[in-house]
Amino acid sequence: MAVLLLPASRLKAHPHPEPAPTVADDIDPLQPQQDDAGFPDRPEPSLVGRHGLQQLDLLMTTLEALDLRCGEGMVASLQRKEATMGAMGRVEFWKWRTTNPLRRTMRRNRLKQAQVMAMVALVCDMAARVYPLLHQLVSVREEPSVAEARWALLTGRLQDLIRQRMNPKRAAMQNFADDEYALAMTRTMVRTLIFSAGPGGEQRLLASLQDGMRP
Amino acid sequence: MHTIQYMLPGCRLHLVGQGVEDGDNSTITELKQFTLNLEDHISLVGDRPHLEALVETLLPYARHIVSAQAREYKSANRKVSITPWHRGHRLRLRNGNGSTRSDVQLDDGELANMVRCLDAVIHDPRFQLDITAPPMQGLRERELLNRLPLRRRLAAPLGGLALTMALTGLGFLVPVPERFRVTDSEGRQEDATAVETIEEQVIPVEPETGTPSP
Repeated sequence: MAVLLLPASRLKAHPHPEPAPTVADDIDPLQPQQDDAGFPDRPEPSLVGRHGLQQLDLLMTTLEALDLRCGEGMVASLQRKEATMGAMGRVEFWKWRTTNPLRRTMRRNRLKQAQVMAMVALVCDMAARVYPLLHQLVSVREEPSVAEARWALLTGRLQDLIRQRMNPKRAAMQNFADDEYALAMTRTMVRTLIFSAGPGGEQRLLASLQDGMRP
Repeated sequence: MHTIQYMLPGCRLHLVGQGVEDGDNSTITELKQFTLNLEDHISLVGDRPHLEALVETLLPYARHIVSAQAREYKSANRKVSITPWHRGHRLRLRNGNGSTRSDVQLDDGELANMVRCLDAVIHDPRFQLDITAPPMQGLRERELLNRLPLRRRLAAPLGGLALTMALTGLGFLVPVPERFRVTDSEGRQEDATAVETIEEQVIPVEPETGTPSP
């Protein structure tokens, strides 16, 4: 009987009010959507494969072996260039580099295309900075004994860095303990770096990182 | 006549041509001659077709070196070709009518200098000629075959073949169950029966008379 005594306005109110509208309510789930480009979990096609990520990280490691300040230089250069990509620090840069499957601590997340392009540009930029060093190494006009000493020093530094950072259980990294193999790999890396320096280097390096991806 | 000069470490490129004069931003729209000096001991002089041929051959060649797959490249007009040579590279140039030929030996450093110079030219907005780098793509799987040594490439198919042969040989060693075994005498009997059966089933064929039946 108490219900009858309530005013009419109270009786009209719905006992279960509609929930507050959300952003998702704007899209009718029953209607086919024209464009799902904004869907956050949509996977972006990968720009480089597993081999490309390994190669990119090894090239950066070779740059660090060439010039000990290159590691800091790369972080500083990224902070300058990629300010629009959010907070870029050495931790974020390390996360990018740990997508290399040969790393001791490896992350399985995929790099975005913009991140890969930023890393490629960074390698080419740093290769252009250390170009005189690279040129000294590959030039046959240098004194053979001096050239050999330079190659031995660089190979030793690269072996040390790889021992510190890469997974020793991987066969590819175990081979680096062999001096001859390490020297051959160092020569390949230096050759790659010297031809990646310059304005057209980014295209060449990116194309080489995509090797084997074409059917 | 307008000139543009590119000074890079170990390499100097001098372009002479016609274009628009605008102080430091002079542009070249028609190339008359270029001179490329490499560390003061190699000097190449040519015109527009030679520059086009250099761009067409050297840039893809360098891209293949980055993939550790160096191979010979020739320009479409046959003026320039480059090939791996001992520990360096051999650049072969022909003059306008193709009568004279000159070879230049380059090491990796000199080739890299030339490539950087050519990159600088084709990426320069002042150079307004339609000379661009060929498109670059990743190599196909079959183009990378020589990246693996022959032993490793042959290991999988040869291993599979050896395993198949070993399993087949082992299969012959497994004894056949008693009920499926055929002795020699049974075999001969079965053969004889089969011959008899065939003989019984032979239907004699009468010769046709050729007269129609009523």
